[in-house]
Amino acid sequence: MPHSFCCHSRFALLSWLTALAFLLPLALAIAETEVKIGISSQNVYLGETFVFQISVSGDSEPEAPAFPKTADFQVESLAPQRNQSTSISIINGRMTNTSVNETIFRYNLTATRTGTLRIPPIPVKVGGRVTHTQAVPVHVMAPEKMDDMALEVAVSSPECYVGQPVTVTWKWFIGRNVLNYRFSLPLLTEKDFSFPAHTPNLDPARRRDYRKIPLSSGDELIGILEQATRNGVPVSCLTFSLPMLPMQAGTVTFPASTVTFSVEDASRARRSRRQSLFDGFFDQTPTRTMTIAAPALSLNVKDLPAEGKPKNFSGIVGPCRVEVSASPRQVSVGDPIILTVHVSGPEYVDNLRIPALSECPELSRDFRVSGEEPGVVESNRKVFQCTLRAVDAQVKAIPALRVPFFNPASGHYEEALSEPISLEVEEVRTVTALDAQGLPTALPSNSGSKLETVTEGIAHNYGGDILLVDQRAGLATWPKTPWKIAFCLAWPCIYLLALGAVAWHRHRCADPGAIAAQRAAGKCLAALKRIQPDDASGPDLTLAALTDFLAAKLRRPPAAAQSFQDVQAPLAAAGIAPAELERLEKLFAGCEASRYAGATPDDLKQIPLEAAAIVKAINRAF
Amino acid sequence: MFSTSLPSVVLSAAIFFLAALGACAQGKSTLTAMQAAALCQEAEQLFNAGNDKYAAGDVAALDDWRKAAARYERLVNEGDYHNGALFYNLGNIYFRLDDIGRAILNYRRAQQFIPRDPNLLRNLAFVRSRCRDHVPEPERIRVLKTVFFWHYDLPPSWRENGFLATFAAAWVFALLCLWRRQRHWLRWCTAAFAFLALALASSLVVDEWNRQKHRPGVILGESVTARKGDSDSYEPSFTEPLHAGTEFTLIGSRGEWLEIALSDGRTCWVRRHQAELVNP
Repeated sequence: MPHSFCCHSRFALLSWLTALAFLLPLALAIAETEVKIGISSQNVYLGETFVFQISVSGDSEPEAPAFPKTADFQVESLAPQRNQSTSISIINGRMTNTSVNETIFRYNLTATRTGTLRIPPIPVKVGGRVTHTQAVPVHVMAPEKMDDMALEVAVSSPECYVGQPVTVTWKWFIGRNVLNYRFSLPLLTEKDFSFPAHTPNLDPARRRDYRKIPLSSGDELIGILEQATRNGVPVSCLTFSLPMLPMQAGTVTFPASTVTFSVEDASRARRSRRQSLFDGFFDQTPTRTMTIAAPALSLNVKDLPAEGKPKNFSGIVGPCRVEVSASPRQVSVGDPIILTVHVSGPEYVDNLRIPALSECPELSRDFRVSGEEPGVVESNRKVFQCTLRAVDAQVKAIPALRVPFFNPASGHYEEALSEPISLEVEEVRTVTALDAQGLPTALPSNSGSKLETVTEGIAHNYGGDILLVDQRAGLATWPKTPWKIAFCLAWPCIYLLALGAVAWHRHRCADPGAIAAQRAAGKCLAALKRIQPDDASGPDLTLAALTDFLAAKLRRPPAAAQSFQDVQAPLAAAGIAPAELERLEKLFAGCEASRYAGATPDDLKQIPLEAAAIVKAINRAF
Repeated sequence: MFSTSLPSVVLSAAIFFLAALGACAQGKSTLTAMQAAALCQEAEQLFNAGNDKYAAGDVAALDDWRKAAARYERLVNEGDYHNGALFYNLGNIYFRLDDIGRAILNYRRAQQFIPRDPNLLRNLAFVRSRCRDHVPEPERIRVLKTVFFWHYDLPPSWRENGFLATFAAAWVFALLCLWRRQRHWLRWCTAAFAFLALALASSLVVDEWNRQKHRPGVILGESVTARKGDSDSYEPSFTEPLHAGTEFTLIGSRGEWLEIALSDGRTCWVRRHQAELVNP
């Protein structure tokens, strides 16, 4: 018992140590993992972007936390940052090597309303466990109203048509020293508006006045800084503009544009507890972050009128001009002609489209149109190309193209016309064998004009008996022409008959003995019939015919059927009745006796008859 | 005792079968051969007389042409003659009478029997060019007509005779194969003729299927308003009416209305009396 107790306790100890060896690293790993959060500011202005970060240390590859959806903040995830640090410490001669993996997940948050908002707890999955961060309160203040700082937004026209470009201009009046700034322009992400690519005209002479406008999205615009007066006070004014195309009709209120900036704040000077030797030298100037918003602005976007809209209207708003060019202009029928269409007029041509040229009736009547391209912008115009192929030699010109557009000034649809382009189209010449041989295709004629066929009119009637031949054919007529059905059925029947005949013939040829056996009775009876009643050799002939019959019937050579003893056993085995065998034996004996002792006339007469009867009986039994 | 042997039974059955088939072979002609020949001759003379009068500017030419057409129609309806040249002549006469619809109808009927006749093709193309409606043929049909040219270009009688000849040849070579089993070329010949016979038989079957399924027709009315349904209360199908000579395929019918499909696939309804099928 003590032995078993010791065994048990040793086993238990080993088990615990093993478990500990496996679980300890896990425990250490869990213990080493740490999740921290950070926020750049808990007091922000409406529209101001601040940074929220989650730092995960310990796990080398943590999953990116999913920021829960919230209506209080616009969230922009930034690329995670990974830090790895290694430190070596030597204490009392013992060296310790420590390495730390840290991953920082950062988010740009922008509050969407004022008040005390809450960043919700965020689940972070680390090392197989899910940890939730703390909820963080954020105080969102309304943008400040300042007399010397203001942001204004204006549109070039209070109302416009769908697709008609307008210019949106932002003006920031700056009355104090601004250290850095960032604009938030949610209008640029509205899907009801399109902002075409725009490069402002820069005056090199005023290059010092231009400023970069950083946006909260990370893009940059270019603005110009000028001096202005506001409420009688001289201020600086930073101005920038963008062209905009409204895509939907209706009265639209622009979302508020804001600018967040930092200014010096002397009232919040920092005091350190210990005076530094370099007191005041390295001290930073305290700053304060402020945000101002532009007043609300609305735009009335009118839909294009349905009345008078051409069927091929492609959405061009604003007067436009169409110029076309074609190359080559001397072609054969079917040769490609590159048609280039230049459309200019609208201020912004990026999204400009023209009606499909392949559906233009003037073009499709005389040409096959292919290879239409979406168009390329070249300076102030858009260039479209397609390939035309003349359908016949009667084509003399590329007709004028009609491009409809809507004129906002007049409120009506108008058309831009291009100039027609003259062409020379030749017939396609058929290459013949004479061309291949290098011979002239036509012999020189010595008389005037070429004989041409008149294509108008119909050819002559047919006459005679050919009109009275019924030419109907096909499966529907077969019931009325039975010989066709019989013809089709006859062949398979003939084939089947032939197949049967061939099979029978082959079967017979495979066993010649059987054929001889079948024919033996007929042969024998014929031979017996030929014997004359008074023929002295009748018994011999009878015996010979009989032995041949028996040899063939028993499938033996003739020499093996010469006597009754030769055939008795096989005949009995074949089922011949004993009475018939007895008769056969007597016949054999009679024939032998007649050979040597002569035969009476009665015997000469009876022997063949008896033999015939026996042959028939044996044949029946076989 | 009466013994029924197998050969006598087979012979009796064959005689009965042929007699039954022969009964089906009775046609529906009510004209004798002499009457038919006389009608044909009269029609030819009237047509020629009409041509002479037309050349002289005499409007009585129209009467002569109408009479010629009537005689040819009797040959078709009463004589039960279906002949490519006969329908071709009818087409010519109706064209002379300015009846584009019936001209194309009869040319289409002639095309079933003499599909490659150059005069027929030329006349049909010319008359079609005079039609007011142009409905393009889909590309797929043109491709089929190119690939299976022998199905579309050979008259049915040629394909039928070809089938019978290749069918018999295949069986003859099959019979020879029975006696000469070692001759591989006999087997190849059998297979080749069997393949040809099968192709021609398939062509005949397709013909018959098309005849049942795709029944072509021609608009006869001068100006026919095609509608979206089988009643005048339905909206017109097209912005313009259909005109005589427009060809279609019959889809179905309800009472006095026919549902048709034009060659570009568009469908509509027309009144029965305003159109006629190529094979009624």
